[in-house]
Amino acid sequence: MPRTVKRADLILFFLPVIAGIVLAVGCRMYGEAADGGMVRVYSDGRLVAERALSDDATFSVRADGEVYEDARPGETEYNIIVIRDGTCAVIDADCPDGICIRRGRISRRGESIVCLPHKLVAEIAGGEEPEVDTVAQ
Amino acid sequence: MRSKSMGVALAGLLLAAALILSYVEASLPFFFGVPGMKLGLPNLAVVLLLYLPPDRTAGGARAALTVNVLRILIAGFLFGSLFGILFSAAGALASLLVMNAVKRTGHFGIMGVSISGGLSHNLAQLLVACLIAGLPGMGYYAPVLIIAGTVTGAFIGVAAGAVLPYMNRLFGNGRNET
Repeated sequence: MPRTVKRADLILFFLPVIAGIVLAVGCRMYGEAADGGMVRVYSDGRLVAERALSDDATFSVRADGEVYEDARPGETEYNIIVIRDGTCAVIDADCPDGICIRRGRISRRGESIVCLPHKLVAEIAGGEEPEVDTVAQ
Repeated sequence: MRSKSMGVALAGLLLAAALILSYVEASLPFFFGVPGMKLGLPNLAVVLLLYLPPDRTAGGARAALTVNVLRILIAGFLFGSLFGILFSAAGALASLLVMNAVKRTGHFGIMGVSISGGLSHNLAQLLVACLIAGLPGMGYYAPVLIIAGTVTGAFIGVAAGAVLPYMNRLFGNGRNET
């Protein structure tokens, strides 16, 4: 019986974990400051709504891409999106897993809320150019 | 000696185990708002099958593929949706391919093979989400999914490594035992 954990196994464990942490930190730095940012909502890969983070709003998106200017929990396959105080959140949805609701509020550039069952993505875009770009130039 | 019917029974047993693990996983609220993040429990059965002696009807890559495909279809219809089947199929088939290749190199133990499976599973699903389903925002979750796939893969690998000797004693090559 050979040893259960080989050295190559440990390398295969630590390499992705470290790479993941580096990537996550990189994303964080890139995501700093979303002043003047926009919320872009995609349904099945199609841009269906674009709102300023600074304007409070409540709207719902149906899985077929239809956008309603109010919360309509009676509709089937919906996600209700709320923008308030520069943050965006899905407050209610009838998807089976509810991951989009549990994701909570997003406010940083590049952050996103994903609802796989309804193929919905709400992501933060625009805003100030991040410092990282200036450094890279 | 293991008979052919014994091999079929073993594959059925592991398929049933994988389905139960799929159910457990579907009812566990493990994810922290990260789409696609899972424990990968059913992968335990697949890893075990990969490591059982392939010279019989059950065990080896072919049996692992059969059990995996059946598991995805049955679990998909029982606990998921058609869209979910597409996702799990992409992840599971990619991870099985990668695990088989990694195992064949001979440099890695069962934990490393399982890690490669978890990692490739998550990356394949991420790719499907970005390309086919057209969910551009998924890229943001890449780091989390890489770490999650590695850690859960390691757990599954350790668990499989602990179970394997007993599976071998029960179903493995009976040449050493009467």
